[in-house]
Amino acid sequence: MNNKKSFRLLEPEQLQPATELTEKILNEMDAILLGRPELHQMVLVGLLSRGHILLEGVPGVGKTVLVKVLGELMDLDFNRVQFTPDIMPGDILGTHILQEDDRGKREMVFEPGPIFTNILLADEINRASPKTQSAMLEAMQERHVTLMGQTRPLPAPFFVLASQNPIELEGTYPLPEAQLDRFLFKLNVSCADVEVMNTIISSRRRGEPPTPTWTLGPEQLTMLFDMMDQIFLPKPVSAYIARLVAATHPNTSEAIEAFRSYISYGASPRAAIAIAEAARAKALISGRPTVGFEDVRAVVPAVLNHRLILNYKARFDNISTMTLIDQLLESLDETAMSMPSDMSLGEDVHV
Amino acid sequence: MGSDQLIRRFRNQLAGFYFLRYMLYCLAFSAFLAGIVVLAVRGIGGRSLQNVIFAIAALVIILISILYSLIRTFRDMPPLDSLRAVFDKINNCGGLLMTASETPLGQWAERVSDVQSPRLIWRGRRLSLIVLSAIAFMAISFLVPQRYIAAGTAGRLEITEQTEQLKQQVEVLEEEDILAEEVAEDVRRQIDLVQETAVGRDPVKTWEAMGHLQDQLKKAAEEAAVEMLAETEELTQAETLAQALDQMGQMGEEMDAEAMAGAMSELAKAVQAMLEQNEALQEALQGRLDEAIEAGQLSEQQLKELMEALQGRKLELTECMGELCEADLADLKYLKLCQGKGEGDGEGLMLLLAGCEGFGAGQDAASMFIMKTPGWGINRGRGDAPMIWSDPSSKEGTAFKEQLLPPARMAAMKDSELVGVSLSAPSLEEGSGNLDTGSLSSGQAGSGQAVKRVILPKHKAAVKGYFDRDTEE
Repeated sequence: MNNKKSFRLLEPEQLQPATELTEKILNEMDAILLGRPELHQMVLVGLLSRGHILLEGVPGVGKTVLVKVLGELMDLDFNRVQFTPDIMPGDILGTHILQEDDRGKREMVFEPGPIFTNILLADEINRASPKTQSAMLEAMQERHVTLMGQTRPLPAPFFVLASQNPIELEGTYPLPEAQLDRFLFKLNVSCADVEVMNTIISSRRRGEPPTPTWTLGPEQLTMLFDMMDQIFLPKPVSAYIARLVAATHPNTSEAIEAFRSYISYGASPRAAIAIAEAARAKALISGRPTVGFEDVRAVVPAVLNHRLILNYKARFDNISTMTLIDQLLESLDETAMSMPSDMSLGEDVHV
Repeated sequence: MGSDQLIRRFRNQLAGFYFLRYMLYCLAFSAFLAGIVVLAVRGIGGRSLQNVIFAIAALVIILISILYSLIRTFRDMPPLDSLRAVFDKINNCGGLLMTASETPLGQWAERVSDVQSPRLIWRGRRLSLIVLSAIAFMAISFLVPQRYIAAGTAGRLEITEQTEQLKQQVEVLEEEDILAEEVAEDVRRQIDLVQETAVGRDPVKTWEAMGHLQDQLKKAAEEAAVEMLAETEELTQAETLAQALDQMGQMGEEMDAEAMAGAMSELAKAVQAMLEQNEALQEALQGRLDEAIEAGQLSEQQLKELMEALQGRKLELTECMGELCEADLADLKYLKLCQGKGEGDGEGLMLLLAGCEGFGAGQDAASMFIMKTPGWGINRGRGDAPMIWSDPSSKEGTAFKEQLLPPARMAAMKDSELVGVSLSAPSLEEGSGNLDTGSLSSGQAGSGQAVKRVILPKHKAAVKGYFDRDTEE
């Protein structure tokens, strides 16, 4: 769309309000939720990319709090669903109820489910049955709900921030790969370090976070989305994204040796789209109207880590997805500049 | 300087490095190739290179190298977009520099105005070593002394011409039935073996082997030539006698019929003896004269037929001798001798026979003629002529051709004894008692005889004539 001569690059004064706004959001989140600036930035990148995020971490590390704060900060509707095995699709999507009006006439009235919101926290999503998971994940992809032959669009913006606990596997229904692919990011929420915990203990009694001092209005969010559409993706960067995703497939010529050995299936084209979109958001946060290689490298781990399917050999050799992604980023040259083996370009510049 | 200019300048620098790199590779390759070619030329020909040719070849190689390097440089040069991406990455431009080629940067252009070129790293140590090695190799190929190159390349010894000549000689000998087919084949195998094993390191061995084979062939040819000479002589004698008898028959009553009959019976004996040993003559006559020869009576017609057969055989022998001489197997003197022996003195013989009276006289005269050809050896006239002992032939001015005997015969010569000097070249008969078993072995016990001398047939008539004269006196 934007790789044309007619495309006008955002001028610095046009971009500056958006950059300041994202900076403000991040500062606010960093002030409320201590010690996780990178996670906050990635969550914001995910939201600006209009993608859904899967948060993975052990209980008590602040996944739910993060989503709640985000909902409050953005002045958006926020719903939380605690998934259990007996929860039904109707409990999420909504249901028709027989009601009698003032004139005594009875009719089926639709009662929207918790999915009809701007930000939905799907807590412990892997505890829901596959039927419920499928109903919700379909809504995530299509951004509308069809019941009784009537399609109802979900509010815009619509984000799902799901969480799952990686250690308690009993009584859970792990999300299939096809459904995992619907999530833009899978972010690992780790435990805070000693210093941060000490600060939390001393400043947050009962662990309640402070309320935001400032909220992001819908107009401002729309402005951010508009800016996102005007971030330019240069051809070499899009080529780099394409080569990155192609290299995750073990049978392609671009694949590195580790991927040939340890990967069963690579990332889908949806992953390439996700990387491009997330890289745009990263560039916007960085205050640039164009996407650079560093933006791509920053978002690739979060985009790919739930899209690569390891084989048994990787499990036996205790190889993690993140290790493979690091190797991929290390080995693939961004510029695709092939030089003779005895010639190379230094990472520094002539001064 | 703007970013575009900087990128283009860097691209030009990069192209220069690429070109230099490919040129160095070409130089290394050319130097190695030139070294090999120089060594090969010097090894094969042993001649100094023509400077002009070498200069032209060097010029062509340089031109080809430049062309190849240019092509490779243009083909391998990274596109501007890639270089732009490199500059963007190195200068942390965040995509702005890459975008500049696709859309105007506007106010962002200031952000990329101060970009720097990346550092180009060329690990040329390996290439330098290759180039230096190649140049050193080429220099060595020029400077190394010729004797070392010749020593390394002196492999085969070219003797094809000589072996072909030998094979031709074998073929001639085989065609003339001088060498049996299996013997000829064996000699050919030996020639091939010599050719295969001929090496430049040890040419003496090859030449010795070739010389040995040549000697074998020449010896066989020479033996055959001697036999042919003897046969020609016999044929000539018989032909001359037949010619004399034919002419005497034409003279009619002037000649003594008994003497003619005696001479005729001697001719029949001689022809009979020849027919027993000479298959070619048998084929020529095909038994037509067998009865007449057995009866010792040949008519005028039969004499003419006999003469034609004898002449035909003589012609064959002369042609065969000519072939041997042409193939350098026999000396030309044999050919001349062969032609000389083909001419008999028919008139002289007729005069001799005309003076004979009676059967015995005619027979003796004919016998004496057949045993001794005029012009050969010491001619002292007819058997009844007085023997003269006071004027023997002198050895003065006579030169003998030295001949090196084969090693086996040299060993036999140690125990040999000089029993006389033959008039013609000595011939060794197979199973000869004197050579193999010593001179005393053939003597009879108690007889006092120490040496048994073989009286050659050509001397028999003279000895007999001498004793006949004593009896008559």
